[in-house]
Amino acid sequence: MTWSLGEVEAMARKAARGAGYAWGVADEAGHAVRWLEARQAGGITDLADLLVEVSNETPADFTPKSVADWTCNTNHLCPVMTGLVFADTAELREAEVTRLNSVMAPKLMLPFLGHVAAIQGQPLSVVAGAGRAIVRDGDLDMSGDWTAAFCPVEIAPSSIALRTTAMETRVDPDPSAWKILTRMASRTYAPATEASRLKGAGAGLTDND
Amino acid sequence: MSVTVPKRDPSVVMRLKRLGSFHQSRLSFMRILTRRMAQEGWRFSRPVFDIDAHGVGRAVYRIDTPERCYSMVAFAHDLPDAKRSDRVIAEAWDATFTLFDGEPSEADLTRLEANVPRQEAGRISERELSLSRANRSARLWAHVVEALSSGAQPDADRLKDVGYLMRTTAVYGSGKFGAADYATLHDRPEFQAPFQVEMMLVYLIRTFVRDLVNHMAVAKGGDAAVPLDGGIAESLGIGNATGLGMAPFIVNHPVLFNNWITAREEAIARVRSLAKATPEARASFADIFARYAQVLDTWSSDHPLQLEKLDVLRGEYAKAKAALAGGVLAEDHPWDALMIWAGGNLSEDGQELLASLMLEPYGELVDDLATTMCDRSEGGFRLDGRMHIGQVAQLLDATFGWAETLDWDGKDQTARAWYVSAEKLEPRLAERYEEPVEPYEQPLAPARDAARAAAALAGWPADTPVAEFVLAHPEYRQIIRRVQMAAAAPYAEIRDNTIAADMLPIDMLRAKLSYFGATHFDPRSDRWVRIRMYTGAPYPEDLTPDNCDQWVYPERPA
Repeated sequence: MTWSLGEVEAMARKAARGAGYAWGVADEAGHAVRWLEARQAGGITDLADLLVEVSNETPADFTPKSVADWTCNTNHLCPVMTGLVFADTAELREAEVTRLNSVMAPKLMLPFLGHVAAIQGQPLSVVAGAGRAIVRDGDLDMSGDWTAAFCPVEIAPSSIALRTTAMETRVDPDPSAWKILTRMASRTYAPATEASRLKGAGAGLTDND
Repeated sequence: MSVTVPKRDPSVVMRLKRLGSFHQSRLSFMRILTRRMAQEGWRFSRPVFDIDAHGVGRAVYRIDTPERCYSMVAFAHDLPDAKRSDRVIAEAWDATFTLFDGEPSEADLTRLEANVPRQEAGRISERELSLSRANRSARLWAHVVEALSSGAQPDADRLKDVGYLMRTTAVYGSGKFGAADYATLHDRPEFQAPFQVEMMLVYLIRTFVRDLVNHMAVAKGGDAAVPLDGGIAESLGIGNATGLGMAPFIVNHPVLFNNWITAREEAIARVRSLAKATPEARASFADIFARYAQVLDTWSSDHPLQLEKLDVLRGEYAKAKAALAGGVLAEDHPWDALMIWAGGNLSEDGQELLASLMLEPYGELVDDLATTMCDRSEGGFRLDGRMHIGQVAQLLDATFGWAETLDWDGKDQTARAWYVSAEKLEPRLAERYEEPVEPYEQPLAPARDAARAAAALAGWPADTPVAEFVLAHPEYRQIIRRVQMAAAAPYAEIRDNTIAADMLPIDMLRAKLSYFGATHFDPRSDRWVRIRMYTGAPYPEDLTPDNCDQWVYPERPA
């Protein structure tokens, strides 16, 4: 069974929120997973892996301490928060080499780095453990093994030309990863009570006439 | 032309009371669609109508556009009365529908038959563009079948009270339940304007419903049966019951909503900027204004708030009629004069009615705006982290300055919380201080968030890039992104508190539904509303370039 990208984005967003991220960050996690899945690069599994790790923790502990300090309390950086810091400060940064000691589910940084590369007008090469990628704006060339739960990441300007990445419109997610997202997403739903069932929707009147 | 009268200020337009008083217009999505259908000579056919005497079976209605074909696949069911339950917990319907991209094979029909009748519990695919269901009007259906089967037409007064034979309870589009994403369709010319997929499906549903009632009359009455009179059929729309699910949409799609409002405001500004109105334009307006009386005449409700609004609107219609007779259009810039007069003499409802009606003579001037109403960026806006906090504070103030003076520590301003119920996965509204839903609150209170963000920003140096602030305060990331978007999309944000004790969700519903082209708003509580769609529209076999547009305003006596 395949899912639409809209469904994937909505699920990723809710799951990120369910795992404890602020709504505005969850929005970005949803965009990022959609971005990756549309490029047939996965993303759902990476988010599921990440959320399992952070869901009972404090998101701030995985967040870079400042826009100039790539360390965090736990020593393992969240790829969404780290990616956001890169993207938010893209115009303020020189194209330079950045080394991060440890990033969880690092693939989730790539959509943000694509934006940074577009702003800086130059592709970025990303080495994450055994994983390699070149990214620029909407284009992505990924190789190697990106399944490490966490690993060091090196980001550097690159002169390698990128082909236009083919886009996919449907997603066939790994069932166990999708189940994790579904479970996390369900944390955003309020359990129904008889009162809320009628009151919250404004029903109680029959709609049968 | 030069537009000399500016668009109305967002602080005027984006109040909930005004949004909740909007009326359909030339730029409504149903009318954009029927114009295109007629102008491009779309062809309609019914390749399958395999429904038994109990009203059970399936049908396929086909549309051929100049370049493509689409098929509505309909499943008709014999729903026992006991299962035609309250809308909130419904799991079965009288009829279920999908819009298929192309011509379905037998295998497609088999797949759809296993899924479409189950609605949310089933799955559709990228070949399907929309999913919907409808229930019969228990008030009318049996009466109409009975009358037609015995050779008589149904009672006109009873029809007038209800206005439709079936009422849809949901029309799902873009990507929902497995359907194709809008992003895969928006390059097609027929989907350049918003919600054209859904409007296409509803148009075909209305045709199916008429055909089904005729079919059931023949099944019951045999040779004695007569078909529903064409004029009566035309006066019937398709009903829709819309609940809270729709209200968050306009908050969750700020750029799209901005584009809808901007298009109509631009249209209003263009018409107001006309120095003169030709005799033809005046005559056309007078004709439409007169015909609108029938819409008012057939618009009923039991809800006290709507009864009061209708009472006021009827009085204001008479007042406007007198002002028009008294020469309010006699001077230069007649439409601007009309709007200025309305601003000083009428409620929001009356003002918005005249604003919509005065666009009618000017299709050539405003209809091109239909193509500006989509949002192809689909949420692609990126927060600008280098913007200084001082400038962010100014943006917050420009859009939400009014909210900073509200008492956000008091219970009245934070009385409500939007949440999604685990049971139906639909948006709901709770009393925050009476129900334990706060941990599940949806981000649908931009005004509150803006006020809090403004307070939090106050302690930061004005020349700090906002990237630093949102890193320290991710809880304000969303509202800061919103106000940055609003800088280029001035009508993106509702200028009222969406969680206040006295907020009326039906205002949000009407704002959206008016853009669909809905009429006869009939709230059933403060949070759900019945409407009519396509009331007065020609059926496919009668649709021509001459009647494809102003069908909202009936020409024949009701």
